[in-house]
Amino acid sequence: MRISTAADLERLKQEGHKQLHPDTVRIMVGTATCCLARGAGKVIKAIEREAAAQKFACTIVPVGCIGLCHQEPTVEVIQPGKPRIAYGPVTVEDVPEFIKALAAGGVDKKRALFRSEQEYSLFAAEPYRYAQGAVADDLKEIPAYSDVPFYKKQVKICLRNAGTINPESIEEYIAMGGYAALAKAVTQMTPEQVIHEVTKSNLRGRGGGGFSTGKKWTECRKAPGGQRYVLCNVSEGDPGIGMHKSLLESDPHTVLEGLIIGGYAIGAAQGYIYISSGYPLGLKRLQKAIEQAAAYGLLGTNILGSGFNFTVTIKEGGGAYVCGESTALMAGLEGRIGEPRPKYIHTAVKGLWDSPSDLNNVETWANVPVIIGKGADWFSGIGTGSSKGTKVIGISGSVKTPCLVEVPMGTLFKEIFNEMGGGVPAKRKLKAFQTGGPSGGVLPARMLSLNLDYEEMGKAGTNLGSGGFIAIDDRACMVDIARFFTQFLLEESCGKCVPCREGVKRLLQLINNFTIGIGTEEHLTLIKELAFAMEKASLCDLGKTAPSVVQYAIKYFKDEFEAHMQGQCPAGVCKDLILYSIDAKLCTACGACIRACPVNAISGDPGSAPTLDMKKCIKCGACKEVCDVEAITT
Amino acid sequence: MPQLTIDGKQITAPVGATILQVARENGIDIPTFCHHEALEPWGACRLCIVEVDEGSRTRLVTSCNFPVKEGLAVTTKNKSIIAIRKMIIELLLTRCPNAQAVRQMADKLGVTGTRFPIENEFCILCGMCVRVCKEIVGAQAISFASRGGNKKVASPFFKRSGDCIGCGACVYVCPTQCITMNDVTEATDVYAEGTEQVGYARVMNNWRTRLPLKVCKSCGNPIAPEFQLQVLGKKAGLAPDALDLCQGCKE
Repeated sequence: MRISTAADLERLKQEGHKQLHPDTVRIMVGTATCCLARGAGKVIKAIEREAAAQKFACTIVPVGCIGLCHQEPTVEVIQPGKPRIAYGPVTVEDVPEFIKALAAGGVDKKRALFRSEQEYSLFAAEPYRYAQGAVADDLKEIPAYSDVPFYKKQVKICLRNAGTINPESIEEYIAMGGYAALAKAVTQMTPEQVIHEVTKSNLRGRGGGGFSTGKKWTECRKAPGGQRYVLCNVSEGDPGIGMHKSLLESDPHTVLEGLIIGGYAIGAAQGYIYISSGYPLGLKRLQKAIEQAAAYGLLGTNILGSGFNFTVTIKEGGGAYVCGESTALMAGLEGRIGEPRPKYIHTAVKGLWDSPSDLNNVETWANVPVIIGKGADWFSGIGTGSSKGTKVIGISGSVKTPCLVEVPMGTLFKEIFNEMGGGVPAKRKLKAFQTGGPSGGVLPARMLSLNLDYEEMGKAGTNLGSGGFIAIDDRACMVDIARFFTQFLLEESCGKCVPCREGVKRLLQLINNFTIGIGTEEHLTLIKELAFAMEKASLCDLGKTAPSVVQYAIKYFKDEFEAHMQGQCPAGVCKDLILYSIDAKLCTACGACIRACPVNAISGDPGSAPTLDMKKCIKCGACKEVCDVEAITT
Repeated sequence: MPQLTIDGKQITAPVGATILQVARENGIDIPTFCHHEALEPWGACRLCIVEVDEGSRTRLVTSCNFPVKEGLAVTTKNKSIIAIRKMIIELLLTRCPNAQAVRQMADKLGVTGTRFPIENEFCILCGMCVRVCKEIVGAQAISFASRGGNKKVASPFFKRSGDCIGCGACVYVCPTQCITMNDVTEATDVYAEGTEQVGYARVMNNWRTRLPLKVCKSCGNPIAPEFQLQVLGKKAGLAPDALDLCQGCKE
């Protein structure tokens, strides 16, 4: 069936509603990559098997990620007439008991996380209520969604549908108000009005640059030339980060809808999505989304009867970090080596195949349908003076509860870290945190009072990047952290310009001097001098920001560099500067280190502290890792 | 025609020209390592960095590809530019301490040595060979391989190039003379079963490519690689036997 009018869309919405709120029990299992890694795939099969065995009629739906990575696999259940309840973690072993409770019409209180009385919906005038009337007494002990600290401060725009809809079902997306913004844009608004709305919303690039999206669109629309392109960048390569991956896997249609609206506004008939090969599931779901949208006529010719034609092509990239840079990405799309070129003429004027091209990040595109649907004023009501809307943040590293959240701009990192990430694990102390990936900075723990705001973060010496937050605790050595990110950049630099290619190589050598204890004050001066040339003269932002992690490490953790000059690694990380020993006073003679040692360097009899043979020791740290009483010292 | 100043000198520049072109035409020297007039600007060596004042802001740009604009004020030398150029040449000197062109440029910029542990490369990865092969010759026989610290120029998969016509443009254009070729008179293929004579051949040492040379029908002396004559003859629309004779025999 082809949707050619707004009435058709409304009809489809009703159908989607039936899917979202069926008469039977709807069991929704999180199946983003993070969930699958925790065994969601097996859980879904186990639920199917168990439901069949117990003759329990239910609809089992794979959905996206609800952000609670530490509670995965998460399962949400909607029983008709009851609030929607989230459970987690639900492992394969838990499934029989879990299904038994559900089949009896009850809830599994042991695994229940929270209950939601109504659907989280941005577009519905009256949000759908799962249960009518007051909450049943027996459910009151399960915390309400609005009371869960994890969700309290979150505002979900990009992730509004994540965990609620089946990412492979366009009907469910439409039922949540999807594609209504597109219909509004192409039937009721001129392209200029769409751009005006986006400009007014003050939406800024979510890829890290923070450039005004409206300005970019205006420049691209006004640029001379016939053919123009809209491009979507799905190539976050920062180590330890997966916000965009999760977004794409949970709700590919919102990205697609944003891209189509952008195409209409800019006057492009062709869109490209550049997706890194590291996103196989996102790619699959995106392909499906494009097929479904094309089948309904939301892509192709004469979209919704407006005369606007638009097609989207997916281009798989190799996953190079540098291909997140706009000109390198375009070179990749053209089939050339992913190397940046100077942008003295903006890509909005001369980009892909020398045509005006508008490149936005996947999260930026995901914001567009909401801005058009809810209006710029609604959107700019969220956030700070200069940074509007929300930001998806992935919290990882040394935190109690690694998770994915979407918070309004202006939220303090303290809140994100303590209330959503749960703070540092027991016995540990937060030393530093890292934002913006390898091109961001490392900041000391005391700077957690920083705002999530483009300008504030810029002033503090870091950047928002794609929204990663890595907590670093007292076990980490800051020299080693600097080494890690510089090593990453050496591998990921495209190698085109001299300051970046040769500079990063030398920078790494200089840092390595410290990790092996031969660093000197002169080396620190040389790092500074080299960093100046790299920042000023590199071709693209990868090289320009390459020295920032080491520079901020030196600025805030100079004492660690000085300790390394004396041949000490205070955190006991740099292998050349440490010797392991076993503290007999603390040792409980449990024998865990003996079993953990891969080279049999630790030996001993039961009941007494083992001994360590330094001749055999390879300093892998496996013993330290397993020791519960921290008897292994460096 | 845009009016601009370079180091305070009033200049009227042609539309579409780059700062480097205009500066050189007006006798202002800007050092470059990856620039060649016949090739598209590349902007990789970053030596040609200059400061431009566009009224609203000043920034450092590479002069080889920055188009001139009305009212632009360009500074080709100041404290930070010199510091950057010195650091760049120090980095190149670290990579290629024995390349003559690098040493000469270092002398010119007042850099006598390097503070980093040296390597012994000769290629500075200016990319002129790759670009001449693509833009001028049209063969695209060589390209960059790998990235970051491992980047090099190579024929595809480091194997014999099927597209190299043995013209030697890469050899000619290389500023550090690290690309070499030579003609041999008795090239031989050696197998376990025996040897096979190839005769006259051109060896592109860096691209692991050997091209048999065509011999003159009349005097029997080598002319040029057979594949090169085929490609160029086809391009020029010549008759198949048009290039059968050497220059001497033709005359």
